[in-house]
Parts: sequence; structure tokens; C-alpha cells
Amino acid sequence: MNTGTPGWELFARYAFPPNELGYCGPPDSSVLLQGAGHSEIARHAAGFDGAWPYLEEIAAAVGAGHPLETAVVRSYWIGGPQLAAVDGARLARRLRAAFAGQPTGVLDSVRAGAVANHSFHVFAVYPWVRFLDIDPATPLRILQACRIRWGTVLSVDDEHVVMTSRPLRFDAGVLTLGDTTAESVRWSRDGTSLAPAPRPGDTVAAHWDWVCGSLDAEDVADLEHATVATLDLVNTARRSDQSLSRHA
Amino acid sequence: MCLGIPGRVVSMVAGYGGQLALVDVAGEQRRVNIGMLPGETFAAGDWVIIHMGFVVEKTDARGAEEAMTGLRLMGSGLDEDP
Repeated sequence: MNTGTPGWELFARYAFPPNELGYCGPPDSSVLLQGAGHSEIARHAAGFDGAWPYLEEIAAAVGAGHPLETAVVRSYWIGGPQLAAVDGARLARRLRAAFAGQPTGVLDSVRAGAVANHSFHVFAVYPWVRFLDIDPATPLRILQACRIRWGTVLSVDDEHVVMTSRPLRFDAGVLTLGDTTAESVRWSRDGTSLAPAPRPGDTVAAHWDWVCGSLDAEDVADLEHATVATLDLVNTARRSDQSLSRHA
Repeated sequence: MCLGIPGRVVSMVAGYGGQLALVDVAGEQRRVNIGMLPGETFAAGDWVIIHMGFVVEKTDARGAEEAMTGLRLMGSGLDEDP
């Protein structure tokens, strides 16, 4: 990742795909595309009622002046050592209060506190892990698309790349990352892209059906660490829930 | 919104094997998939919570209002008392 990328631009690159689909954030995802101004994107970003509490908590924990500072935004989407500064118990309380009345996954069961990373929202706050034991195909498809994936670009055409990524697996009641496979992901549409054109061999991040930008080795390590740490929390919480239900 | 949004079933959509319902969400009618709740039945007037195009919970008017209240509270800060 180019750490010189302004935080508001970094936020926009990763937030556009679910915003375009109508899953997250305010209407009019075009605000997030390149060309919009900093203040306009900042206003739009504050309307992401899922992401914004995390950004505020990270900013407060590390003493950042604004939730859209680059290091804060990177921590939320990718991960990194700054996440350790966030009070996970406090964040969990905030999320439980904010999402009271909402169907959630294992938010109420996570004893170790929340992780201030997008992966936590996907796997613990969203309700989809509830459905894994009923019919895992749809939850796995949604969770896989919704998490930030990383991989190597194998080929590029006018609008898509073929890239490697690790699929989400659900075996014996446990969520894990499987062996690397290839998938096709959009990097451009009608001349618009979220990041500079990728090249074969680049390591990139993908969110839903879009390439969001390039990653360096440190980014990949941080993203994998945050993802795996969250999966461990979720698997532990699911085991705890199932144990309690068996003894109820 | 980044979480579930409440809506009210208008009707089932014919021709999709009982998998799609037409749901009123804040005055806008949307087709949503009910396949994640195979044990539930759905009829006009039922309240549901929708996430990413799927019904993820069947609820009642009070539950729908609670979900909306939660959405309105998001980002408004934390009660400091644990």
C-alpha cells in the first residue's frame, strides 16, 4: 500500500464496493469515486454507520486528529500494530449498544473484546455466521466477498484481473482460510477504477467484486493477522454458544 | 446502513419456489430472499429484518422499531458506564 495515499481516498477505495451495492453507507456511491473532494468524501464516510464507530475508536486510541487519517483507515481495512492500542472491551460495548435490536453474529458472545478491524464487523457483527450450520453455501459466499481478500494478480484484461485468493472454508464447525485458488475480480468499469491499473505479479486487495489497491508484504501480513485473529475469536465464540445451548 | 433493515412483507413472489418475498422497506418495495430461514413461514404483514438482500430474522413491530432505533444510534458515541 502506498502510505502516501490520503486517508479519505483510502477509505473511498475500500468502501465503494459495498456502497455501490447498497449494503453499506449513504446513497450515491459516486461520491466515493476519484474526483470527489476531500470534504465531500469525509461527509459521506461519516454516514457509514458500520465503519465509522471503529474509525473513531482507533483514532481516539492512537491520538489521531481525525478518523480519516491514513494510519487509522489502514488499521480498519487492513490491520496493523495500532489495533493493539484500541480497548476491545470498550469497542464491544459501543457496538452492542449501537446494534441493540439488530440480529448479529457472535457480537454478544465474544469475551475477548472486539477487534477494531473490518474483519470483525464481517465475521462477528454481521449475522451470517448464524446460518453456517443451516446451509453454509450462501453465508460463505457473502462472508468471502465481504471480507478484504488479498492475492497475486495472474493476468489483467480491460476491466478484470484474475487473482489468487484463499477461499473461506467451513469444516467441522470451524471457519478457516482454504488453499489458494484463482478468481476474477473487476479493476475497472467504463474507464473508472478505484486504484491504479494492476499488473501481473502485483499483490492486491479485493472487496466484493473490485480490486481496491495494491498491498506490500507488510500489508499482507497485517491483513492476514487481523483476519485470522478474528476468525479465531469467532470460532471460539461459536463453540461457547454451542456448548451453552447444549447445556441449557 | 451497514446492518439489517426492517421491512414488512407485502406478498410472496410467484415463480421462485417460495424463495422470494416482496417487502416494503420505508415505502420502497424490494424483492428479498427468504431462503436463509427455511423453518419460517411468511405472509403479508409480517415484519422482517433484511441484510444484503436476504431476510435474516422474522420479527414483530416492536423488533422492527428496535432495529431502527439501533440504526439511528450508530455513531452517536458510547455510554461510558460499562
